[in-house]
Amino acid sequence: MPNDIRVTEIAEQFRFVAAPTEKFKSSVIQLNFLLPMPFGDTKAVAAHALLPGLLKRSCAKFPTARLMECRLADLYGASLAGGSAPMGEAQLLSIYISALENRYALTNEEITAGCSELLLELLLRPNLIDGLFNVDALELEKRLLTERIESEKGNKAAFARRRLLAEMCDGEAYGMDPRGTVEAISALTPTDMKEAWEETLRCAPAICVMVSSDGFEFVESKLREGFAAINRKPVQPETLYVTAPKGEIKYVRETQEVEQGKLVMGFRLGMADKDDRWLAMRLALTIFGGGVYSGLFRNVREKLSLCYYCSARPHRYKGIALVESGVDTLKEDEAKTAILNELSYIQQGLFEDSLIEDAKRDIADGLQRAADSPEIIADWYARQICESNLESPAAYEARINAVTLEEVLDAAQGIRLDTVYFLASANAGEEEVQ
Amino acid sequence: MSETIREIIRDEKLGEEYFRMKHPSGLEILVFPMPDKVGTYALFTTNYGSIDTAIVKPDGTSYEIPEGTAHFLEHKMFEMEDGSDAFELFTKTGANCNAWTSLDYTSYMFAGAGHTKENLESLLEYVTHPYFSEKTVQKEQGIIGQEIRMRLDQPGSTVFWNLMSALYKKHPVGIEIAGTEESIFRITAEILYDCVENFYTLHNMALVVTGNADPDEVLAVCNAKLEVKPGTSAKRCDWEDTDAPTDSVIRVQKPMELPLFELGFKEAFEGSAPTYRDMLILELIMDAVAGECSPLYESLMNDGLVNSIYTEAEWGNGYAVAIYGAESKQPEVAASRICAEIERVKAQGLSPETFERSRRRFYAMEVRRFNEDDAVASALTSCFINGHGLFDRINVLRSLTLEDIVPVLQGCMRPGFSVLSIAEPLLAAES
Repeated sequence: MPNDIRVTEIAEQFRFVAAPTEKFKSSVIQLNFLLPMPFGDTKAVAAHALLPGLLKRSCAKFPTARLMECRLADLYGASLAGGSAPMGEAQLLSIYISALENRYALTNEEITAGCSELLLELLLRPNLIDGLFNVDALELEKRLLTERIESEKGNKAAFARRRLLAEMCDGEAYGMDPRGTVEAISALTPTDMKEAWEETLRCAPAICVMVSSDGFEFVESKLREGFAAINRKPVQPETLYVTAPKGEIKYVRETQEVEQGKLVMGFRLGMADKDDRWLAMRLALTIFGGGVYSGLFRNVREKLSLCYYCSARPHRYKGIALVESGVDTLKEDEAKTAILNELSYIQQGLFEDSLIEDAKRDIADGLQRAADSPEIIADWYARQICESNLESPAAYEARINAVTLEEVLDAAQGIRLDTVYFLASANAGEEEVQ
Repeated sequence: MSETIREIIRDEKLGEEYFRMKHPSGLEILVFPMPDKVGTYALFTTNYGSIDTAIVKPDGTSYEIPEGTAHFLEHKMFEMEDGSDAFELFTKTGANCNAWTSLDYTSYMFAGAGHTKENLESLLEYVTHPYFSEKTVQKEQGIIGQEIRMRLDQPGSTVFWNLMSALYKKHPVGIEIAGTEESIFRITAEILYDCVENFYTLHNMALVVTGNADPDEVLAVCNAKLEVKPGTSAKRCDWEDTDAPTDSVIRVQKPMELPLFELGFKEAFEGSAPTYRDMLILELIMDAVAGECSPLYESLMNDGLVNSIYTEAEWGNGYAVAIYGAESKQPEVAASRICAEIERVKAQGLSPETFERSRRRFYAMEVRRFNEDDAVASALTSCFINGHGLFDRINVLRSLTLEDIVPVLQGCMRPGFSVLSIAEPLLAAES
């Protein structure tokens, strides 16, 4: 990591993080905004999800996608990306630019300044006609977002995960598709998008992280200047944490013409908020199904040969975890039992103490190597948008290392199976069971 | 023990250098120190991939091995004779380890912060001391069987393999890397040992270390761990497969909603493999034809025909394919527009502006590669497999002119040598 980051507040709840370093051949600027995902409001969710794409594909200065792409190509193929992802029951909107450091330009161009200027242009001076978003640009973006939803139906692992979340978090905002619905996307108007853009600038807690050898003052002053005229009233989105399953375990089974069954098991973690026993919970889930030393890998995959992949992944900002695996449809019950057995062993403390140290070393290794990539550094700080004090990977590592076995066991007691989703193969009866 | 041959290869403009060493064991060692990095990344690679479907003996005779053997062997390498596995070795240091099999080669990796000596020792130890039994082979058949089924459910994977197998009827490049559930059940411990003996000789392998790495330390570990034995690199089959494909369109129905396609052109080349230079120029031409700055990309997007386009050149021993891929509700229309644009560019040439944009973009991608220890390691591995230097691509790009690309442009992406591979939703009656 760069030795010193410098954090300044450029507007209310909008921090600028400068991470100066000469280590890399490219610089990165990442802008993150956090917006609420109100339950049932598919229009708002769709508008938020669509906004980063709309902002990044064109702007007032480069009003077509091709002009924008040509500008990026002239900046030595600078990468510009934008998207939205759920962060608990909120939507994290990101726009990101990465480009070659000036010292590698073939003819001494100012690449970093050009990229900074472009990023601020597209955030603050979008492609408006008569004060509203360009209709053609919006229609293109609506098609692209709709096709992302359609495309997911061909990705069975992602499809099964989405179905599990919809079933398990039915009645909660987290159960909604964070891209909205096809109908809601279709209904979006230039006025809706203008409102979503203004809401983002005015109400979203924000953070801008820049990893570069130079050029911080320019970005910071331009952001200050741009946001000086905006009357910011940021609102911190809130997430409903459901600490335990609401009733009996919910089971949903669907069938398609697939070769392999997809099993997704959703667990409530007993967390009351994002910090509640989090580090101990992370370790508990890591030894359950987070690494090659975990129970799911060593036993469900390696010993029982039930699957090629089987892992447990926490959704910290919602207080849940998902175990996902691709298994033979006829071995669904065997796989479920084996997975639950592994969880039970952890909850009962039936594992070697060294496993906790293995997990700590694994996590520490990843944290230390984060310093080797400008993208990971930028993302590390940008994802701390909800935290009042930014924490370095080294400080986080020290906290992980301080977690005790007792704390891990205590956290593990909170893990409760809530919902099981299984996508079965329609041809299962014809499969040969090995 | 004879001396290790060592040379330093520098690029003054980038300010980067790497060490190429030929170890007495026959192993090629490539070390790219990145002093600012915390982590070390290593790839131990054998020049043996899924296209090696036969073992060629020194007398020239050969015998076939089941499809998917290289990949199966890669999985089995992790098991040790004492019942433990290689993952446990790396768990002790916190390093991440993995392996993969491609068409041309098989690589074993670790990435870790610190503990470089121990991690390197572990890597060399487990890959050079395989242990297989019929029991452990059977155990893996279940795991890999599920991996094969997982890929059968991925439309993108099916589209690619359908394309390659339609373009190449004789060359095994169209055979899926993991093989089939049927073929992997024919693999035995004996076949695996034969493959090790033939392909995992150090004369057929390279060790690449990047990031926080010292060439002397790497060499010292190699000296301590590796046995010096006479040998040569493995003989590989030669395939003569230059015929035009017989099918121009191949379709598959899947439970999906948005169709996707790959349009591939079988490329001509001289000798046993194309040159890296011609393939780099081909990639650049493809970017100029259908990249995000191109008029074609803009028109296909505006007409609702694609939501993005990717291009790639897939090439190696005996094969070369130029691929355009996209999701599209009208794959045939999108593909015919790409074909028409290729012909227009061939007839009219690229404009200087278009060429320069693509050249800069490719140049920047090459420079940025040197940010990442894993990207440099992959590039060095590719250098070992394909026989060129790490800075060769960037040097070509620095001086490439519009005139230089004309011979490749005129000879590439020939009409009659293309296949359109489509995955589309199941017919309503079936779904």
